[in-house]
Amino acid sequence: MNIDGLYDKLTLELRRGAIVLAALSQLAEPQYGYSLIQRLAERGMAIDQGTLYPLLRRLEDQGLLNSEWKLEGSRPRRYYVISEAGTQVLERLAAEWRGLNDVMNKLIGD
Amino acid sequence: MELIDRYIHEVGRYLPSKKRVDVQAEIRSLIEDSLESRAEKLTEADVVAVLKEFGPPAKVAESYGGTHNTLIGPEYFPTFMTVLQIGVTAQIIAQGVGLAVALAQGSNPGTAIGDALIRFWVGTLMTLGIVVLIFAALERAGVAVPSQSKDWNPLTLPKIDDTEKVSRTEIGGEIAAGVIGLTLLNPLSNWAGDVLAPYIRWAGLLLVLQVLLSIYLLYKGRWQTGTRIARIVIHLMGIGLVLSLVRLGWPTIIAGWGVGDAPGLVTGIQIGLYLTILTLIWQIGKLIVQIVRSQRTADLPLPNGDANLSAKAS
Repeated sequence: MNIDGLYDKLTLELRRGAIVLAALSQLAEPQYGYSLIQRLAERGMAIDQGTLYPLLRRLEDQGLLNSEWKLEGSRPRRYYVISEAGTQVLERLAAEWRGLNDVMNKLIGD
Repeated sequence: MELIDRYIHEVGRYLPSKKRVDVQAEIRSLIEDSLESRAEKLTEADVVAVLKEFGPPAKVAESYGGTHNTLIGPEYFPTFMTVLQIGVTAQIIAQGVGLAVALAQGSNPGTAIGDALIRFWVGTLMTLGIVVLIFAALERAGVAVPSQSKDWNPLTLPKIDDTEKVSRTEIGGEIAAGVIGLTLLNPLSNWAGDVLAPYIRWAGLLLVLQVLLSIYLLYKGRWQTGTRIARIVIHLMGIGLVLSLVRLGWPTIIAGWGVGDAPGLVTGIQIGLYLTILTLIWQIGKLIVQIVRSQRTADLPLPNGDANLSAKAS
């Protein structure tokens, strides 16, 4: 594998966990898939549609999100919002992230 | 937008029926959101671009927890390979016995070997098919493999069989068999008659060589390339001896024993001789594989078995 391909793969792995945290952090208010992508992108976190949408689904299956269909005009959209369990997990993940961030900054030198 | 319908239909093919309608509806809504943001007036190129962004249908379905796409997963694979090896070995043995019987009954060797190879090929394919079916069924049913689950116990790891170490019971048994064989040879040559006498002397020489090699192995405690080659040479001489026995006129010899005209006995002896040859060839093959393997590991700077660490741990 060439170095660019390897880099892409490693970046993907590195971001995978962070994306969960990013999504949970922005779902205090209900969002549908596309609006969440926009919201995250505006805040500097660009995520592939193909990555985020199935992730929302999985988080719902795990009980961290709730969802419901809403009809807007003639368009049905599925809205996701963080659940009680999701809020708890978010808090702990955020603490973990901050700790990890400190350690990593020390390791790679700020 | 017919293209979107086709895409969503295709994704649905890979989704479990329980989730299908719901996931399809969601993907449709997401695609429409995505298209809406692109342009007022949509062209086919826009749709193609958005669908490409979503990804190939099977992959999208898989990321939504679609169908299980592995026939035999990593948990089952090692066991699958072991069972397959056992199956193929059983095929080799079965076809070897079949070949020996065919040769003993006087089939043309070329045809008999050709037939055996075809039967081996067909039999192996069938074994492969059956083993794959069984493991695919296990995989699908999601039966857990204890040795691969999270609470596996390192203490239950199988022992490594050290192929370089001489098995004392095996070699001891071989020496005993060799000595018993040698003591039987003299009465046997008296009984078997003059025709067989030179062959029996030949067999005696091989037995002596075999016993000497075994004693040397017991003394050394480990197999080496030299001892393996010596054993191959003894096996080859054995094959030579058995082949010349095959060519003897057994009906006449047996007639000399006074057991009458015994075609069953002749066939029996021939089958035994052919099986001996096949066994010796199998043994030679094994020895060659072991030589190649030991050459591969010879250059590695590994400690020889009893590393300090394992001594500390126990």
